[in-house]
Amino acid sequence: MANFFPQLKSGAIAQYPIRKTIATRTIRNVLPDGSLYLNSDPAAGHILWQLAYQGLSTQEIGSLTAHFDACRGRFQAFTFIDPTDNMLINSANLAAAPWLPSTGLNLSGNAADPLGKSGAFVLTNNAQVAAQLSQTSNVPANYQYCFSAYVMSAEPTTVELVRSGPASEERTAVTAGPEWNRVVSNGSLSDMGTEFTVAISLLPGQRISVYGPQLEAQVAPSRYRATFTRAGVYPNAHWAVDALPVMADAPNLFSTIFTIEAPI
Amino acid sequence: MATFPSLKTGAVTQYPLEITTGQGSQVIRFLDGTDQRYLLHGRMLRAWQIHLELLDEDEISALEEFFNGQQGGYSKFVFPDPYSGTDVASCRFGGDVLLSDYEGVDSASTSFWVIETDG
Repeated sequence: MANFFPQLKSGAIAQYPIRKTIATRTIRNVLPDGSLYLNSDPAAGHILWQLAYQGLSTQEIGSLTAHFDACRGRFQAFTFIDPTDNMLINSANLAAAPWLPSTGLNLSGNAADPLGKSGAFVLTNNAQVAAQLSQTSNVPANYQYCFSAYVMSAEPTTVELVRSGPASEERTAVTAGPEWNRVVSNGSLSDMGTEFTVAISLLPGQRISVYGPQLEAQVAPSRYRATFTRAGVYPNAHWAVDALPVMADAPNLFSTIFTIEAPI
Repeated sequence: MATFPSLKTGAVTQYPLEITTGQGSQVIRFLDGTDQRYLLHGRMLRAWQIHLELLDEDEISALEEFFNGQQGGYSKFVFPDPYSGTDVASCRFGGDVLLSDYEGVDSASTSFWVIETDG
């Protein structure tokens, strides 16, 4: 799959250490009295990830070199999932696009969250059938993902976390009680599609509070990272190196280091 | 105006902290050995080199979010100067690049300059 950066067998995109550089551009004019006249250039912003891998198997290093070859080095763009970020857009605002509520699902914001602030949303299913709040990303459906969220309900109840691709779906029943609980659904689907959807599904009449939904291409959740209009999926990423160095450290053990860049 | 985010400890920086103060002068030297000098800034300006280590994901995330919100070195913010104990307005990031090193789970580091600017 040439258009997506490959995932390791461990289910991770990268290994520590990861060096991430956020670069912006400001045009500076220093006036004769020393004061500044500045203009921002938002279109010039970009991110660089320096990724170092060790202990890769022949298959893993093969998938990286095959991807590099398919992209012809820096020439062709691909989708890169930032291993340090939340893949969901507007995780802090469930009422905004691209979150998609089913008909009959009511959302209200400014509810108390687990941090003692008011960043949570209350979801109420007023429909006669199950309803869900979902978000779709253009990423491979068969990668290892971890979908997590904080949930709470006045009365103990069970809701479902859904991970689905174009051809398959996996539902995980989780419990919401009077205390905030971080619930998780993880795994990989047998689905070769290039769309992946996550959802929180409520039965008719159910009402729960939700905070901090997070999607990561890895096995277990890391700390919640709030996102707004931008998230951790970069569809126009490029290799930032003209040659991919591969070190054979031992039989079936390889290491490499390289840089990937993407516009912000 | 935004305020520079503090760490969970309430501090804005860690040791060692490098602080510079300067005004900048242009010096033109003449053939007879004399020179003419003029100031580049209207007043003394401060700069702080911030080194942060062992940051957890919340702290490094807050710094990255703040850097993005400021559009790098473009926007001004208030910096709580730990040396003088005063809030310094008209500060900016000293560069247009923020480098974050993710060394492990909840262990990240970064280093950058905050500069006081004139306007």
